[in-house]
Amino acid sequence: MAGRDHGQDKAAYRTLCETETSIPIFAKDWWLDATAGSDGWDVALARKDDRILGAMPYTRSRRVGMTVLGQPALTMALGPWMVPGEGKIGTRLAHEKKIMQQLIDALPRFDHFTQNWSSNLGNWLPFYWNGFSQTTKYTYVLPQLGPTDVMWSALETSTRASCKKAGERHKLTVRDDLPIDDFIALHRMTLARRGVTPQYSEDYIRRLDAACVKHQCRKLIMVVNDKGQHCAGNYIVWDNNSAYGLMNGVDPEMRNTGAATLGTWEVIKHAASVTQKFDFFGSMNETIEPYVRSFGAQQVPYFSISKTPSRLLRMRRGMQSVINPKYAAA
Amino acid sequence: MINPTFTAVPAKRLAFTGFIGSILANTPLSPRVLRHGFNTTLSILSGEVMPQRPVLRATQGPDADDLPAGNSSSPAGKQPAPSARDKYRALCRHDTSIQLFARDWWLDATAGADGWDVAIVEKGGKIVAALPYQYRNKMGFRLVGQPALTPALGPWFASHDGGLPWSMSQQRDMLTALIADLPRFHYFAQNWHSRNTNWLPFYWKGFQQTTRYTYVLKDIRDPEKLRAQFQHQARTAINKATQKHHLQVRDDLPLEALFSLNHKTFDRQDKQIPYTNDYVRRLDAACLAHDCRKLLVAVDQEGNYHAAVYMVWDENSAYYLIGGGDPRLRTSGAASLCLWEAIRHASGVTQQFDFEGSMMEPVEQFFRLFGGEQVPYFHLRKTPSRLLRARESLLSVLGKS
Repeated sequence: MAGRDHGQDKAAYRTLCETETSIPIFAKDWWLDATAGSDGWDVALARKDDRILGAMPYTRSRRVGMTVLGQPALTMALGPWMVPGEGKIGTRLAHEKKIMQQLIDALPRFDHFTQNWSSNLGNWLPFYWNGFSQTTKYTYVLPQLGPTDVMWSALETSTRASCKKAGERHKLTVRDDLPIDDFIALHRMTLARRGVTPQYSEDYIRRLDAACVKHQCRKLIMVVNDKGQHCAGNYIVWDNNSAYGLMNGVDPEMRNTGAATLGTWEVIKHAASVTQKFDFFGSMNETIEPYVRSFGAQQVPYFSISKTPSRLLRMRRGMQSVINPKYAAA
Repeated sequence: MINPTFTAVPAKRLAFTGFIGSILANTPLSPRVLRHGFNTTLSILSGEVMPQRPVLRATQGPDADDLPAGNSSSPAGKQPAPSARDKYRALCRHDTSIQLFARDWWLDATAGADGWDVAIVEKGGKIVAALPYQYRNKMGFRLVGQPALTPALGPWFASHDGGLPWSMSQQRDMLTALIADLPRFHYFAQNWHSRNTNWLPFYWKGFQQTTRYTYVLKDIRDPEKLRAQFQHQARTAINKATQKHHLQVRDDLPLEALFSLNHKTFDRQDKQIPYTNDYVRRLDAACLAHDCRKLLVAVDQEGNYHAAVYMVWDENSAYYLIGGGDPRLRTSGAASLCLWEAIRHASGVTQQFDFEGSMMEPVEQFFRLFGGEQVPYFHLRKTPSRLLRARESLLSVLGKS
């Protein structure tokens, strides 16, 4: 907003990130530097006197003359971070409302805005009053990581069998010392097989990985066979609250060996040693649900928030909706 | 200022919003509702161009010619097999987990006995899942939704054998079957009960969703304890109403008292009332017959009506359905007093108090004063009609959506 020194706000937010452990990994300054580039993001702040009561980082890019605010690739959620309110329930809601309004007011002018929020945010009313839209999406979460034997017995029988088969019959082992490029190759192979165009380059992954290694909050697991072939890989990151299954990869030819299941089980075990939850970073895709359910995951809703002040972009979306067969009668 | 807008409460959770709302707003509901009868048993649609159900039989209205022809008459003298609606009616008689608004008699009173139907899933001869809906034909468009003054419908699941919750995959299968059992429509819009938290199977079928909120007092056994949790503005308003303005809350006044206050509220907001007095009278008669309504009116010593609250309830919750206030007497605290009395009464008949919240900022502010918990619920929508989608898009471009 006019009169606001963004450089100063960003510096203040960087300082906050150093001390405030409740800020999720995806909203940390170093994560945003690594993904969006240090000039590719900014932050809206809500203050009272000198204290920061709320923050909402966002990426800013220009596409065909339009200003788009959003979030980087491989970033599960951004959205408002707020100092928790106290007192009666009505007082807490009023507190949230005030902070959110300040955050919205601190956003620069934009043509399109879209962000996913962390699942612990359940109130988007102040954004509704400011013309934003919302829809509910789902991820899948193991809400309480615990001792390995407890988690093992919570797996579906077929999942346990897969893990055993991978080790005993297919002689697969797990390594955590392989370079990121080995994983990238596998990950690309998986995306190509699914026909998905990756939203991020190999360098993007390397840059993000370097930052996560530096902050000691990532684990790369590769499942290999006795010939040294890479069968599957899992890449997770974590913060104090949760681990996130950021990327996976599996060699299509090794799909029946249980390699993917074994890799996932290994990263879950590791997550239990460093944090409290495991978030599969799920999608609305119809096929993912049975897989994550086999690990005992629960469906957890989160908000996707958007606003399109640009009439031109609204027109484009409208035309797409008219021709999209998705909305036609089932 | 306590309640600048104890106001458009009734307008808040209408099923047909947006452009459809604008179509419907010009027309009183009941007289033009097309009646339709379903006398084929429910069958899962198999993607045919024009399904055999529901068979619409128009009794009046210009749209009659647009209705699909169908096998609308059953052979004379033969007893037809019980329809899904018949089975659902039987279920409503004994299953109190079905919310008030989804019960057959409520739908009869609001949508009309032939204005609603229900998608069901059966297992072993028992209904295990149901999705009741209002079905209407408007200007040639088939609309599936919910009646006015019906804050929520949405999928209902029978309690599982043994009391365990249904698994994720069971729920998903039942929701998928319910969608398949819906009739063909041009437009679908429903608010769902807050217990419905999974809309994924609807997403896969092209529906859209957004989250709205209501405010609920979840434990009303001890009203005095609740009162202590009110924000001070609410407590001050209640005290002012009784001590300074000497308002009395009466529960023996006729519906006309409610109408006059409710109309004033809508007038002040320059909004159309989405229901007629007769519509409310019919609903009220049904609620009286089921002994689950109360009309509270705050009256001063000169006999002026200041504010009114019309509440209904079932075994689980009371719902603040219709309200109204005299704009000239807005500072008397009457609205707060009526709500307080409503909560007190609810405490004797049910377990929760649902403000049937609003997305309107001033209404939200007012409800927040009473310490209710913010409870999200889903609004589901789908517009298979390309024409209606084009209209939605146009309105969105014009900034009117």
